[in-house]
Amino acid sequence: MESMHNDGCFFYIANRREIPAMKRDPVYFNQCKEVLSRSPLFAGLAESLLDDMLSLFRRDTWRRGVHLDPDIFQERFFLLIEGRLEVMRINPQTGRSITLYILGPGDGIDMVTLLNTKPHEMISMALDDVALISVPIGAARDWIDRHPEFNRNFLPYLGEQMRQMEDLVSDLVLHDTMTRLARLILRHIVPHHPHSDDGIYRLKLIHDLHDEGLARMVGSVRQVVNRHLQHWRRQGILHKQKFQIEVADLESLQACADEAKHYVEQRRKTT
Amino acid sequence: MTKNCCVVIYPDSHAVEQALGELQSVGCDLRQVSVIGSGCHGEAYPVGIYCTDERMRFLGHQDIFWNTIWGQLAGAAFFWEPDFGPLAVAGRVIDLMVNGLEGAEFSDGFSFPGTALFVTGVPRGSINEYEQAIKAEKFLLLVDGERRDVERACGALHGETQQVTVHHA
Repeated sequence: MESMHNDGCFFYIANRREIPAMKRDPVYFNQCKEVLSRSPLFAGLAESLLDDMLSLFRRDTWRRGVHLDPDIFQERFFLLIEGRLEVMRINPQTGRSITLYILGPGDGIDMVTLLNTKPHEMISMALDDVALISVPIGAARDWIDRHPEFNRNFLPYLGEQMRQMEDLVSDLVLHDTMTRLARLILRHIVPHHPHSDDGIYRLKLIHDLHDEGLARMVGSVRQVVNRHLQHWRRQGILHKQKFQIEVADLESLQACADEAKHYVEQRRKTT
Repeated sequence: MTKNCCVVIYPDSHAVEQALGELQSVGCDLRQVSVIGSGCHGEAYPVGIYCTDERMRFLGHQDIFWNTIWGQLAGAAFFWEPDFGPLAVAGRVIDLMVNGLEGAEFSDGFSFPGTALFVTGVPRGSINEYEQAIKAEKFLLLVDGERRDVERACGALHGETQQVTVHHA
């Protein structure tokens, strides 16, 4: 029922019962709910809250390899449902690039646009065929204002992204390429994966990236990353199975990641 | 260059006509719009095409609908594909279907309309869903063009009760 005032009169207009757009597509609606309810951004939220949010969204897809115009993120807020997205910055003069995030299902894209309206120079590239849902950015901000309980997930999620940026910056400044690469791989080990019991650790999000993609994540170049990966493969630290990187010797990789720390400790002892 | 399109599945021809009216009301260029349907409704009616007065006409249960939109949109075609049976199409997607037949992508496991959808930017995962909709005698309305044009069309068509999917490739 909808109400309106007109010249002091009060009318009720009965309208037909409308089903929100996402619910017209129940299979996809349920798939979205399942993905989002498992993600840190939405885990533990009431089902009614998720239903309300999903009713605002529309479906989008980006084909693998497509580079998205940054302006699109000033207009709409996107949530990833399937596939991975690489978020990077590029120096147009030199062509050098650095990967800021690899996002996966359940992640929000360019979350800072929810906080302010400043332009944000970032390039997004679909690493797979990507399925998303999106909503006009104003509607997303309004929804967050109306549902302060969402902040219980939203703020820790933003905090985690800030930590990731902190890790990236400190890795770039404080560590050599080998250490950065080892730390990157360690950060992407799937926790409690069934294969971990056999001593083989699988990776999430970066498992099938080419050396070029890994190089972009550690601020290096393909040749250097390739040299380190080959060295670790020869040492039996890493395996490459069906184009997927797996960690076979976690302790040795951990030692590589801690190398810089040991070096600092050694110097401290000698001085 | 990015390819952009939006696709909407409609249950009947009346909903497609309404959608075309909405697109016109917001100033969308109908040359960017295409419609694909099975062209038949059950098997009780004969289906075909014929020419009179130098104009192609549809014969069948949906004759008024197809004759109208063949006059409105950029192109008219009627195909028969082994997987789909009859296919009635209006709009510029026809060129993509015909050219796709000769291209490498057709042999890449796509159906006839699937090829055209792939070329306009629809990913493999969504093509099957659209093919099933056509087989179920629903209608696909597709708008392709610059991102702004596609967003405008999407704004007009997406609503409380109608899902629109936007594809970028």
